[in-house]
Amino acid sequence: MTRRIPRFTPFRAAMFAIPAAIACLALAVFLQPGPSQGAQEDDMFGAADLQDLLAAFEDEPFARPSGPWSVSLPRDYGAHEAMRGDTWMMALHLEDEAGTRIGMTFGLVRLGLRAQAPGSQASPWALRTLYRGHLSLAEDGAAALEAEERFSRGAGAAGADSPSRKLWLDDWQIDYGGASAQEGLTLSASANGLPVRLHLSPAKAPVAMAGDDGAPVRGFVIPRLNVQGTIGKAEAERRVHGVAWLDRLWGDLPLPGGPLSNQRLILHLDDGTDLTLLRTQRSDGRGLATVEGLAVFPDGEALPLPPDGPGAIDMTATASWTTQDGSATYPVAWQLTGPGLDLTVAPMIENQDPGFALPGWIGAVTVSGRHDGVQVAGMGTLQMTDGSAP
Amino acid sequence: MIRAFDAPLLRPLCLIVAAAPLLLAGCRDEAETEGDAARHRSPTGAVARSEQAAGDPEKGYDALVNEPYVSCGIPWSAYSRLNPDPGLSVPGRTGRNAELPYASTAHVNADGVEIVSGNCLICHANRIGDEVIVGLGNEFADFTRDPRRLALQAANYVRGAPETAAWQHWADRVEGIGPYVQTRTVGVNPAPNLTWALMAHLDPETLAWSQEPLIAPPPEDPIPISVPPWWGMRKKNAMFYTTIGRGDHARFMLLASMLCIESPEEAEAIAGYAEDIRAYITSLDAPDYPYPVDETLAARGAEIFQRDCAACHGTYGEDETYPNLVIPYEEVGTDPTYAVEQTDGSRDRFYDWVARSPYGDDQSAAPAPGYIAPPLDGVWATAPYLHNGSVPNMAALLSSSLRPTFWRHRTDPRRYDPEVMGWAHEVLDTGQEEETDPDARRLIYDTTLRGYANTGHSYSDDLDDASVQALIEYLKTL
Repeated sequence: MTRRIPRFTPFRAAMFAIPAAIACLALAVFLQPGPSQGAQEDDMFGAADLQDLLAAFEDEPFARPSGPWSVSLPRDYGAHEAMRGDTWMMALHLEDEAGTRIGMTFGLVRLGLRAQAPGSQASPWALRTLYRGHLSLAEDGAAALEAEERFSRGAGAAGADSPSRKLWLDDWQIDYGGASAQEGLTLSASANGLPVRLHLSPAKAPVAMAGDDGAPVRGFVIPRLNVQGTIGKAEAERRVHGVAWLDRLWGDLPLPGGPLSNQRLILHLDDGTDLTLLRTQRSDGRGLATVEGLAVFPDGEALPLPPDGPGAIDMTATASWTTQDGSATYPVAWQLTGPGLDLTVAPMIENQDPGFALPGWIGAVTVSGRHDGVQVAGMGTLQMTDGSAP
Repeated sequence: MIRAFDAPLLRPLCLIVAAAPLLLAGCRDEAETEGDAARHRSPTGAVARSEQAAGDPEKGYDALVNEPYVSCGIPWSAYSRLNPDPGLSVPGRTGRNAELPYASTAHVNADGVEIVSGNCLICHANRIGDEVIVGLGNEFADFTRDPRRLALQAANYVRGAPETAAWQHWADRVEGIGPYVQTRTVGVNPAPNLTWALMAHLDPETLAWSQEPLIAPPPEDPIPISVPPWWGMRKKNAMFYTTIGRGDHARFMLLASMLCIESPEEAEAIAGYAEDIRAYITSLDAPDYPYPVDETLAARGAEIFQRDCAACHGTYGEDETYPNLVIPYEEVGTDPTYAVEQTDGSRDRFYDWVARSPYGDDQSAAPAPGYIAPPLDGVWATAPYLHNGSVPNMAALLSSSLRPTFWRHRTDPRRYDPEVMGWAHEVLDTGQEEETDPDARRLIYDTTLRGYANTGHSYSDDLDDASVQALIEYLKTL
C-alpha cells in the first residue's frame, strides 16, 4: 500500500454501513414482542417480522443531511436528533501494564422511530427513539470475550445532551465536554459488571465525508486516538493504554436486514498506519465481492483504497470458525494483499460471537506482515454481520 | 486538516439499469458453414428499404417515457434514499415518473414493490444547455465502472423479502453483464457488447435467464460506440452502423427490454406499444442550430457539400435524398475493429440467437463489412464524431491533421463551441497508460486503444481553410 494515487478518489459512504448495520440489527429486537410460551418454532417471531416492524417507521419524515457541512468538533461528537439516527462506534486496541493485549469495541446507536414536529409537546413517555449500546472485551489468552448489550427507549434513561456534551445509556456514558477537539472523549461503561473508564484523545485529524453531495448519511472517522484509562474494579483495577478508531455517522441509516453480508476490518499498524477495509457480498454468496477501504498514514494523509485497479486490496479468508450449534460460520482469519501490502490477520480468540440479539461476530484480531517493505505488527477489530461464508 | 470526499452512493445507479441494447452487431461462429455465414451477412452499398408497421407517435412518446419496458431495477425505497434529486425532466411524465430524472421509470411489480428502472433515454437523450433533447445520443454517460459494484451499493437500503427478490432479479442480470460493459473512457457506449452478453444468458425461445452462459459470451472489452441520433431513423433503412437492424425495426427495438425480460409473453406485451415508439422516433426532427449562421458562407459550403459529400450523405432541403449507403471499412478508413468483429464470424452465434428469438429473423442481424454513411440532419448536435466518437469536433473531422491523439471533454460545465462544431475539449500530451489515477484515466479518450482510433474519413483534407469554414457553416443549417 503505497501512495501511488496523487489525488483523493471518492471515500465510500458504504464504509460506514457496517457499524450502522450491526448496531441497527441488534436494535430490532427491542421491538420484538417475543414468542409466547409453548409457541412452535415455526410460529416464532423471526428476523423478517422484525424488519417488517421497523419498516412501519420507515417513512417517518426525518430530516435528511443537506446543505454545506464540514466536520466541527466537539459539536459533531454530539447527536443530530432531527435525523433518523446516529451511531458512535469505537474499536480500541489496548495493553495493560503486564503487556497483555485487550481488544474492545463500544457502540452506541440512536434510532428515531417518530419524527418530532417542531414545537410539539408529545408525552416524554411516547415511544419516539430507541437506543442500543454494546461493549465487548477480548483479552489475549482468555477463553471467550466479555460482552454486554443494552437497549433503552430514552425518556431520560438514555439520551444525548448537547449543552452538557454527554451521551448516555443507563450508567454508560460518553463525555465530550472538552473545550477543544483535541481534548477528546471520556468513556465510562462496563461489561457484565467489569467497569471500563477510558479517555480518548485524537492523535490524527478526522477524515470526513463531503458535506454537500446529497448522501443519505454524513459523518467522519478519527482513525487514531490515544487511549489511557483503567479496566476492572478497585482491587483488581488495571491501567491500560493503547489506540482507538472512532466511526461517527448520522442521517438516514440503513434499517436492519437486507441482502448483503459485510466484513469490516479496522487495523492499527505499529508503523503508525491505520487501515480499514469493508468487504461486501450478497448474502446468498452469489456474485462479485467488493473490498474498499481507507488508509491513513502516520502524517494523517488519507488514501481511499479503490475497489479495483492498481491500488486495490485483495482480502482472502484463510480460516473460519463455526458456532457451537452449527448455525453460522464466520471467516475469522484473512490474508490482505495489495501494492506494498502483505498482512496476515488472525483472531485473538476464535469464539468472539458476543451473543447479541442478532447474530454477528465482533472481535479482536492480531495483524502481522509487511508494509512498504518493512515488517509490521499490530492489533485490530473484525466485525461481521452474519455467518455467511465468503 | 479535514479531508473531504464525495459519496459515490449517489452516482447514477440507474445508469446501467437499462443500458438499452439498441445497438447490435454480429458475426459468424467458427464451426458454421459458408451458407450460415452468408445468412448473417449483407453486402456493402445501398441498404434496401423494408416495410414498417404504422404506429401512433403520441402514444409512442407516452410509452417511451412512462412504460416499464425495462422491468427490473432498484426498489423505490432504496432508490429514493440514494437519489433524492429529481434531476431534469421531460414533458409528459405521469405518476411517480414526474418525480424522477427523465432516464428513470417507475412501476409496481407483481409483488407490490415499486421499482425504478432505467429507460431508453439513458443513452438516447442528452441536454444542450438546460434543455433535454430526446433522441440525441448521450455522449457523456459513464460506462467505465463496474455496474456490479453499483448494484451492491444500492442494496444497502433494500429491505424485506419482496424488495430483496426484486433487487436480486436486477442484481443477477447486472452480475451477468458486468464484465462485458465497462468501456475504457467516459462518453462512449458499450451497448453492442451488452446485448451479446444478455443473449449469452437468455434462452432465445423461452427467454429464461441462466446465471451460467448458455452460449459463449463476447470478449470482455467492449468496442466503443457513439450513440447515433434517433431522428436519423426517418431516413435509415437499417438501425445501426453496420446495418444490423434491418427488417422490422419495432420488433428489433424490443431488445431494449432484454435486461430484465422473463418470458415471450412479457416481450409480446411490450411489442404492443413498440410500433408506437418507432413511430414517435421516426417523427422526430433534428434540433435547429441555436447560434447565428453566416448565410453567405453557408451557401458556399452548400456547393462544396453537393460536390464532395452528398453522394454518400444525401442532399438536404426541399428535395432531400438519402442513399442509405454502406461504405466498406477499408474504403472509409475509420477504425475497422467494430465492423471487422461483426463480420469475421466471431459474433454469428448471436445473430443465430436473434433469428430464433421473438426479436427478429434472419435479416434482422445481418451486418455488412463497412459503416453506414449517416444522414447529417442536426449533425451540429451530435459531436464527437465517427462511429466511435473519437473526433471531438467537426473542424477536426474535416481536417484530419487537427485530430488529437489524446483528449478529454471539458466539463463542469460542459460548453458547446460553435466555431469548431463540438463540445469544448482539452488536448493531452499522453494517453491512458501514463495516467496512474484511475479517475483521471477514465476521462481520457485515447485513440491508440483498440477500437478507439480516429483514422479515416479524410476526404476533405485537401480543402483549403476557407472551404472547410464554409462547409462547417453549411452543416450548421442541416
